[in-house]
Amino acid sequence: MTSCSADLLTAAERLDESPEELLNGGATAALQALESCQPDIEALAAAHGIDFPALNALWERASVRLRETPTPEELFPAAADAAGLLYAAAWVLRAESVTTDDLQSML
Amino acid sequence: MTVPTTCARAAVRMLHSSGSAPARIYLGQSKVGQWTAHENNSMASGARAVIDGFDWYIKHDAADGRQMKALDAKAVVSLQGDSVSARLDVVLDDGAALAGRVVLWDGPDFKPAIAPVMACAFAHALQILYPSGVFTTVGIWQARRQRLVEVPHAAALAQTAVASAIFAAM
Repeated sequence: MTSCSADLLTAAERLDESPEELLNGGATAALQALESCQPDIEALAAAHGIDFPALNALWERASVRLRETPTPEELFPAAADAAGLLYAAAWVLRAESVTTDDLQSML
Repeated sequence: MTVPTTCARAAVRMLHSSGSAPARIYLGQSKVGQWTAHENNSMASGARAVIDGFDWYIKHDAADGRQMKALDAKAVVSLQGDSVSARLDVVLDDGAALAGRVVLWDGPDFKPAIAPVMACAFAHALQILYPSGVFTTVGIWQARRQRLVEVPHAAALAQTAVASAIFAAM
């Protein structure tokens, strides 16, 4: 596992196990992990033969989710959505084979 | 099963904080609900098992009747030298005492006989989280498999040596 995907996985687990972490630094840490992996994803898309826009959309959606501050009522679904997207991003970086369809089913 | 587990955990939190109706709606609209129609049969059946497991959880939680005191209670437990991070999905008021519940959404089925060993680290976690507390049970709820075992707290603690040996071997 690359350190980049390990950071994404750690960020996902943090939000998955303790949703309030979304409001307590977890979103910032997750955004940093996403941004540190961003330079690699174009090459990753080429290596796997998948559409770059689909891969980029995963990063975009996760970033948008993490920048939004949920209401207290929205906290649990928001943290779960963010964690799910981060798990997906970490998985893409680790997977030996990924298809565009696989990616789109995550979005 | 990571993403379905994440959604199922969120649904359990919503159930205990907001009630069953919003929790069911959330899970149905989440990736789990969407994946029940997945073209990959394994993905679809896995998602359906989570939906069914959540309905089972709602029913059995209502029958249990104990009220939620805390969600996502975590503690680092030392089992004869090994540190283990233990997370209880739900801590429950049980009269004047407390109980813990762990809700599993993946992994294999388990035999009820090994539940006290599974509950051991969580029994220790309750003691760390509530140092002056009195404890009744630790529940191991395998929701996806629709199996639950309520382990007396003392019976879980009695398995410390066995649980420690397992963690030491991992």
